[in-house]
Amino acid sequence: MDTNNTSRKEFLAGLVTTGLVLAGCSSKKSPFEMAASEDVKATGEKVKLLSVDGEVIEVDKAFLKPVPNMPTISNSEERKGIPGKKFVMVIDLSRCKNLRKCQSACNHMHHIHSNLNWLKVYPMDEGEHTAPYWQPTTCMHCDEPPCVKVCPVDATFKREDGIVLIDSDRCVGCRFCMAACPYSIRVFNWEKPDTVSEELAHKPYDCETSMPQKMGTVGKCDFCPDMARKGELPHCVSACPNGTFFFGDLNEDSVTNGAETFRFSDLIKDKAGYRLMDDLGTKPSVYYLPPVARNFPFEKGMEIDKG
Amino acid sequence: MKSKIINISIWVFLILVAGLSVKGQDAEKSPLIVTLSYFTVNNDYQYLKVNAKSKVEGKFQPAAGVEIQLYLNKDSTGKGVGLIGKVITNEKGNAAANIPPALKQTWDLSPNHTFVAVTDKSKKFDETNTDISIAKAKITVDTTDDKNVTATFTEFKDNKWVPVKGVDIKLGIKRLGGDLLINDDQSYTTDSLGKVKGEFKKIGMPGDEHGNIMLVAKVEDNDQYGNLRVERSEPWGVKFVADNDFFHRALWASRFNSPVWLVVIAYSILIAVWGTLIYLVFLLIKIRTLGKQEEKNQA
Amino acid sequence: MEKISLTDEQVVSDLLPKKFGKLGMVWVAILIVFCLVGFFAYCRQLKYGLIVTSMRDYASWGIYISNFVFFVAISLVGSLITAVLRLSGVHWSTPLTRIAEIIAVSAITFASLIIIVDMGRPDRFYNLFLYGRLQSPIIWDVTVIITYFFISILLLYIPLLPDMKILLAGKEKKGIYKLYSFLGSFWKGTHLQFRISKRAINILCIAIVPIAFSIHTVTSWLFATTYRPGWDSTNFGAYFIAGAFLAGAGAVNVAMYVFRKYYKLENYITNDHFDKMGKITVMLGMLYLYFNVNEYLTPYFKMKKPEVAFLNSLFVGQFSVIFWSAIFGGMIIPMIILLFKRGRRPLPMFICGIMIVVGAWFKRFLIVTPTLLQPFLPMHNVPESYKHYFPSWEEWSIALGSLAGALLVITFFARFFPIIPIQETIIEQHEKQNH
Repeated sequence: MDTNNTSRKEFLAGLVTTGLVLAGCSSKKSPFEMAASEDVKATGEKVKLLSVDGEVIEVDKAFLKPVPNMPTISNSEERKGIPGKKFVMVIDLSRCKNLRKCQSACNHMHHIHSNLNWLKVYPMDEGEHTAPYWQPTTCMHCDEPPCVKVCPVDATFKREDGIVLIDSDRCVGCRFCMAACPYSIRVFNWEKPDTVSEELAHKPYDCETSMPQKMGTVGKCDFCPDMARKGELPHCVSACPNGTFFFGDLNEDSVTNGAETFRFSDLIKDKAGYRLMDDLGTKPSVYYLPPVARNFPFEKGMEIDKG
Repeated sequence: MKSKIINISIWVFLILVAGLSVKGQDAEKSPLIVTLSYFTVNNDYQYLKVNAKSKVEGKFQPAAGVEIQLYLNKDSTGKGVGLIGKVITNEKGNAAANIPPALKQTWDLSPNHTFVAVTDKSKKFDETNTDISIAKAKITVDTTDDKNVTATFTEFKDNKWVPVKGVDIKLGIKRLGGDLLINDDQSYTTDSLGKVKGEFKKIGMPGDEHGNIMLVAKVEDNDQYGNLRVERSEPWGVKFVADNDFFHRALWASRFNSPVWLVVIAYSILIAVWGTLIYLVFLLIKIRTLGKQEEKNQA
Repeated sequence: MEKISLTDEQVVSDLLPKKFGKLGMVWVAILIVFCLVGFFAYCRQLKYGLIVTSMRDYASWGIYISNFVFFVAISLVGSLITAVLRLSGVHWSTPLTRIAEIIAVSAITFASLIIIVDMGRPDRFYNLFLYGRLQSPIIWDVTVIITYFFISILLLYIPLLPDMKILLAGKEKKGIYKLYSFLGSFWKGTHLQFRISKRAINILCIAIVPIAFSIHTVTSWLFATTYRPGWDSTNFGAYFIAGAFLAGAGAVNVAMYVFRKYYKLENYITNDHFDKMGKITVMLGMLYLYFNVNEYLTPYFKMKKPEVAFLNSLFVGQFSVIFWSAIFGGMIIPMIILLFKRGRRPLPMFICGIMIVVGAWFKRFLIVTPTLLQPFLPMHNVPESYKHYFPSWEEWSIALGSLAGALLVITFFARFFPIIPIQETIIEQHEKQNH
């Protein structure tokens, strides 16, 4: 019989309801919802659940956690991107041991063959006296993407949220984008991908999951926009046991590897973050933190390679 | 004597076969590891998350398509009672369930519950039984204008909410995929009044278009209380102004947004050249008509 | 001018297209076999995908693309002989114009075909037209190729009209004559028709020069608009055009010799023609050599990090044999031979022509693939086959099939149409006699 408790509960319930109402009413989509969830639209379908207090509450289906399967998005919406976001990735080179869990997670979730890794881990041994290190390389999702400039059919495109995607239904397989990319990040489906099951192959192609991959088209890392829509992190970020990858939104000035969250501007300034081949003018969206103060030798990664 | 030997040898053979088949069966099955966690958001909405993984060749792999039964309580034999639901793990081996209103009676009976996750024996895995014990708890958040945050942790004991000492609470700002800590302190521990205090030091953080940020107080992976999370909007962020300039003309833009200079030059050249070519075709036609005329004249 | 004065009838009977002799039949049969094998290989490629080639993620462009560049290069010869020489008031090149034009038309046709072969999804070819992006160099290339094809057809067809009349002279309308009739029965040779035809040809000759320049410049920009070592050069447009003219001149030399020998055209393609073409070839060769020196010496002086591996692979590494053979065998040695008057006789010209053309083919390969095998970031964690490139039998078959197809088109054209313009030859004879 706590009046305090009830009033507080009422206040919170009121907040949730207001948030839900606002979310439902807002005609212009605001980048941040005030309700309990991430940028998810209320579907109007409500589900009855038991709350901690033993009360029966109604929650819109779209706000259930973890977020259920999202409704399919049209091709033109996929080409526009998630408004108000600008995705960015920070890779801490001092943490990478060449375990390649990121690579296997990405390959597994996108059903791609291990010959055609989208995420590559390179041994960087630049000069005689410079320190060798392992460099996980994703698509840079450049702000001046040379690959997009040369595509003849608009099959690869740059979105508002910074992500560069490939439309495998449009791609004619000319491979000009592969020649144009200085980071050699793109791969080509030279044959029918045997990692794609018959069932998956018949599903309609979704630019945001880049699945199913098709013969004769180009593929590459897509920053997992389908996960970002759900408020989750890309598969490589969650898979790394050392937390090497940090993913976030430049407009929120924050990046996270799931366990640790940092303020992006502080992180890059403090740790002297840089971008790969910045002098080419591609304006990549992936930042690297230099490999200082590593507590494991580079050679350990070579053993993993051979194994 | 002969029949005895035959008898014995048949028995030995049968035992060997049985032993091998059992060994074979065991060798195929890999151990299934099921982890169960409890979450509550805003002291209101609650759900269970379950993850199944198996150890294959020394490496952990997510176990997809595993059916798991979730129960609200455990009886004396260790079996689950009060079925919450049956879920099937997805590609990552994860599944989640909410507590249905039908279990209200059982839920209200006690402040403590032991959630049980049970999997049956299948071709790939043996049966498993995992449980966690959760006590009902709450976090309440108060803020002052000068950006001080106080979070109070209480648990439901003897029909009322009492503060708990020694619980780790983290205070953060909700961001994509994670929460940014509001200052440099990693986490706080509740005092005897169940309170923690922190100062919001991340000045200049971008908020939404009104300058609001979502303040978060959370308890993560607590043995007694599970995972709790409370979110609250505060106007402590910087107003976010959307960049509406993205769809401008550029070399990397879509085919409708070509730079003007390129469009002008390309189309002028095309029109000039193909204009000439069409003129030439016209000349050719003229030759043809002249020829036909000549034929008629000759005829 | 060693020309013997011939009667009109003699000219006509010499230059009318003749049936294939034994050698001709054998030649056609060999070409058809190559085409069929290439076609069969392409069917395999359609079924299994581009995996049947040796191209992989690093060497993602192989001999299909270098064949494409080679064809585009050869096709420039049409504009050189027909347009440039004609516009400069040169008349000795008249017998060679049709040879040059048919080489051009045939080459540009097969350039388009080989580029379709290289596409991963040729079934989506129409996307280029439905969704074409004006910003893409490939769209520029498609546009210019279509334009150039159309211009070359016109430049082949309009001067052919007067000869149609000669071909049709008094013949019945059956068999091949139906085709001749359709193509040119309306040509009566009236004064007005000649005037219009002259005007059209003049306009074409002027128009084709910038188009020809742009076709090979745009093709060079397929490479020069990227960042890669060996391609990131401001020199590429001029470099490619110079190479194209040389390759085209070599091709004309070969064709001149073959047609002269086979059809016994010594009175029309004289030793003087060989001499003059030889001088032009030397000039073009010097020009191309000059561009090559610029292209390779300046980066070698600097040895920027991305260029080190690339230049080493060309000069001393895995491509060194091909590189130096192409430079010496395709450029320097033919130049030296052709510097001498004795070298500009028909047979040496023919041999040098072949050396130049083969050298040009390998040079195009050296432009395309070695750069791709030296990416900025290390090649790691990929199958061994990704790190090398040697074309598979399907690629060879298709490439050779396309070359055979181009030769087949030229051969069949010469079978049915006069390879040397009859009417123009007659007119020029008269003009000389009237002097």
